[in-house]
Amino acid sequence: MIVSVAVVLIADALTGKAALAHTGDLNLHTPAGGFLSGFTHPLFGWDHVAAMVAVGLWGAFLGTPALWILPVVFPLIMAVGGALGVLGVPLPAVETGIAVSAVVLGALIAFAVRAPLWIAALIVGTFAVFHGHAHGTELPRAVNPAVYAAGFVVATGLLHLLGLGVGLAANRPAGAIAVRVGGALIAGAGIAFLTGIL
Amino acid sequence: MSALRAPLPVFPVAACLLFAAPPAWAHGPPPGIGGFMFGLQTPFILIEQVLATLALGLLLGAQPHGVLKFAGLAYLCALLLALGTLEFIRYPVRLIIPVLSAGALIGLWIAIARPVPRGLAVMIAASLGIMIGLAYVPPPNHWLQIIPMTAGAYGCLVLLLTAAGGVAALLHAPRKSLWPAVGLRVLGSWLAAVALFMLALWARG
Repeated sequence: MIVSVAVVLIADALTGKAALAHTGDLNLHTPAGGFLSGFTHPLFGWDHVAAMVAVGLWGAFLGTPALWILPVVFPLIMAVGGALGVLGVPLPAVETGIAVSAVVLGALIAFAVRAPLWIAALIVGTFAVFHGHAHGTELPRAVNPAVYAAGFVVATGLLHLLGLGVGLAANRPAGAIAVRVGGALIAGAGIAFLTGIL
Repeated sequence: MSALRAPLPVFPVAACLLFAAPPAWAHGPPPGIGGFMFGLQTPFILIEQVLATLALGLLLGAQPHGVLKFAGLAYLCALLLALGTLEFIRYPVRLIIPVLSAGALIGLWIAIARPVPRGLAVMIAASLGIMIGLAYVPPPNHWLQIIPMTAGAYGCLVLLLTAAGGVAALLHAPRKSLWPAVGLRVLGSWLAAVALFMLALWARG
């Protein structure tokens, strides 16, 4: 029964034929388009995705209070990086910094490094500047900046949440190994971003 | 009950939905309340106000009842008090930078999850209420136009504050699980991050 209802609901959702009250397509000039543009910006960059998930994984691995401090520190510092990008303050090697963030965070998880809280926050915050700068400099002119910012902040937070959720498996013996393997994969992906393979 | 348990003809129903006529959602406001409906939507045009009000609601919802009561009242009174400036300033004043700065600071406060002294909470709520309320000082129209629009705008702001406060109270309630409180801190950091980004965009011009 549940499967039946799910199939029907999915079919309904996929039809996409609802007549909305407002005309106009979902372009960058509409608030929804602006939000979607910001929301998809971290999701369409695999380097962003890998690093964001790694932040959540590492937070879960380190446990309380890093569990919540890292996902709180990251968006705040990312906003500062975004502000630098918007204001045109140059930051060298932004893309390299993003790829390095995946390598370093992945390696920290893979080697089960239990860094002190302030060092963990410093590492995550430093990398957040690069991610934020990329979001800020790539802000499309047509987009409503508020909804674009809301979009990329929410997407980033949800990726952290994904990492945290998976990272909770680290509480079990087999899960801890899986999380470390996940970290190694993220580090490997980061190296592939750095070398241009991906 | 038996009807609920009966197997659903999945594929015929899914096929019907696929080819069904789309629903029409375009409703105009009922006659006579157009001004109120317009006012109700106005805060969403002034997005910094939505952000700051949500942040204030989240902050106050996580405070003890005494703080929530006094600060909530202070916000409502300050909104109304802003109307009193009608005689002096005549036109709406949109204070983007102070409102965004307040939203960022309140978001940070939520993120660090420290209690707010009652006096400070009242002061924050009152000053934010005044700053936001000044944007709704109505232009010199007939009072029959002014009252529904202002009532709609204030209604929207109060709804936002109440909804955010309710969410915060739910998340802040004592539980065994750590996650709701973490969620509240994360929401605060998101609001602060968006406010900071918007401030930077404003500075860029």
